[in-house]
Amino acid sequence: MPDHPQSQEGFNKWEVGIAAAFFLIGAYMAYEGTRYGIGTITRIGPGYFPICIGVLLMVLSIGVAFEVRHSLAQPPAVPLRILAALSAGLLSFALLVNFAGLVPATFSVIFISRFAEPGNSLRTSVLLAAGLALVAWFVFIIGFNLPLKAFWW
Amino acid sequence: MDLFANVALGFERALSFDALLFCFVGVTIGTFVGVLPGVGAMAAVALCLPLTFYMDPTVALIMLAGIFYGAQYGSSTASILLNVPGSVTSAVTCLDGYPMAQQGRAGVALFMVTMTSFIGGSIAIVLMMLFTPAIAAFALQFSSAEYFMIMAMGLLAAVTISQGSVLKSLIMVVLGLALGVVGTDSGSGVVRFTFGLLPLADGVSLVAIAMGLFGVAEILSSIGRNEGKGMSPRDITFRSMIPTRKDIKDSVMPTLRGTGIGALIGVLPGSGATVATFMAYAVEKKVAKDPSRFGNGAIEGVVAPEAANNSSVQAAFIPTLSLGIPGDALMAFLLGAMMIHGIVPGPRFLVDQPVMFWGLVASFWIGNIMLLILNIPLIGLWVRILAIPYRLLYPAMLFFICIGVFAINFQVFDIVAVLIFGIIGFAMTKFGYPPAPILLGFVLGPMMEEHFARALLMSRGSFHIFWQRPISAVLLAISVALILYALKGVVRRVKTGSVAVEEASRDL
Repeated sequence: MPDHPQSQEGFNKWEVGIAAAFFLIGAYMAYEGTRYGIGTITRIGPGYFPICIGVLLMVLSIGVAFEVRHSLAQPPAVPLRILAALSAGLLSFALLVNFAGLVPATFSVIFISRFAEPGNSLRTSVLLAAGLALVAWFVFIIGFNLPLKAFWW
Repeated sequence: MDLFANVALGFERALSFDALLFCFVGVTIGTFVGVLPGVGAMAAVALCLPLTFYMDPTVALIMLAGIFYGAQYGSSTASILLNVPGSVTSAVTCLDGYPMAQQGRAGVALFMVTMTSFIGGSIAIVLMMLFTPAIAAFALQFSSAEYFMIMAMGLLAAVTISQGSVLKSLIMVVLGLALGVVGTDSGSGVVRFTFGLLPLADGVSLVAIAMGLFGVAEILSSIGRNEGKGMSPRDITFRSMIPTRKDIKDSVMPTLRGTGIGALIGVLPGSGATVATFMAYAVEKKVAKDPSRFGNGAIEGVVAPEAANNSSVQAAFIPTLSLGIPGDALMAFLLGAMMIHGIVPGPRFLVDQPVMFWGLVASFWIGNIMLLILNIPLIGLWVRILAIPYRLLYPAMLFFICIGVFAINFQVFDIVAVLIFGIIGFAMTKFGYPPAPILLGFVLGPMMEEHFARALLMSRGSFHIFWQRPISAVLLAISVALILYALKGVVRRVKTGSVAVEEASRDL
């Protein structure tokens, strides 16, 4: 990795950072656990198990931090376009399914997620989205009787 | 004899119209997702789970289980024809299966794989019929201490057997336990770690976790990856499938060895079918007179791993159904599905629900026979499915994930959760954190907490209970041994620091 010459000698910030994040999650769980109540040893409270988990997470994350300190792992090249298209698709389904109904929501998730790859033809997108929206209508609402509305009316 | 009466009872249930129909639907979906590279059995089961809510629980289980073992049949097709495994459990099959296809023997390879899958699966079903009731009867004497210990042992075994960093796997298990804590505590009714979000009061959705870590993450890393040369599936003629006498003779022993290895690995908690296939292949290479043939289309290298993965998948039902302890992430998911249906897994399952258990076992036979019919005469159909391009497939998968996750609780929140888990799962594997242990920890966590609390209540607060009861002590000893076994590697890695970039597999 030419642009990261320091990763061999120095710390791998990403790897150690992830381990630190686990440490913080553990610390938070343990702290929050004490507020739920440890209970007594005969009758453990709702906080007992979270505290154990939190402490375990903290201990393990220290071990991991040491293990990976010289690791050469690099953050993955985040495929922004793919990430954006899939997120937008999923969120559009989440937004539409209750207000507009299953058929528009299905159309939307398929149509939008097709933009993850450059050069996908729009016509195919429309056909695919419409086709699967119909399948969804027949299979899930008419066939399996899921208590969902197909459209907004 | 009792066994025969039970089997008869099971077949009576499994041969009813609805059971047959949904068994067929299950194994067909299983074969379909098995054939397609990049679509796992987990995704298919999670998608079908909400559909089964409106069915009889027995039929629901029959269908979901059918997807699991059906996927094992289908997954070798892509390995042989395209050199791309349909799922990780068939990765080894590529090594000799693809060379066979290049030599024009694809038909023979596909035929033999289906036959050995059937034999491996059938033998494991017999083992299941013999051992599950015995283990369950034994487990009836378990108290909470034993349950807690056996679950702890299962988690430890899953972590220490896995490849890659033990510490990273372990931290994933604990993260799974942590996720399991979220929601209303069953003991006290206290609502924990919901951050004021109402949908979290029932806990994090199992399906959202599974679909995010395995479905969305998989799509994220698969899109844009070069699809390779377009597949132009040649038709597999019936004639080309007929094996020679030598093929059959060469396959008998490898099939039996593979079955044995698969069954053994499958029963062990925490080790899945993938490990079994690699071991079966290694063993065949070792016992072969001429190991150099391997990698160049040796039929032993194709049949042994396929027998192993089918017997392993069937055998994995033994601990799941007799003890309520899942062997791998897939079984953990099935266990979760059973609990959503209100079935309490564990040794009492056999006593309380004999029709369900024996019906399920009987359906395995029926399903395997259906798969034989689906895979041999209809192989041409499945080969054609391989020609579906990913750019049409992934939007459809995304939609199925949406509906699968949403239809569980009809909560919009779960769709957001699946997206978050998808992104986390994608990033995690790149840094060598395997996602499968999260699922194991998540399913087992709440049960462990309950049994831990009950064990301490029983002993009036004394931890001695975990080593004073003999069975619990043995389990504790095994757990300690597992830790010691892993410790050497861990200490070495922590001391020197590992340099290698290890991408964790999204392997179950």
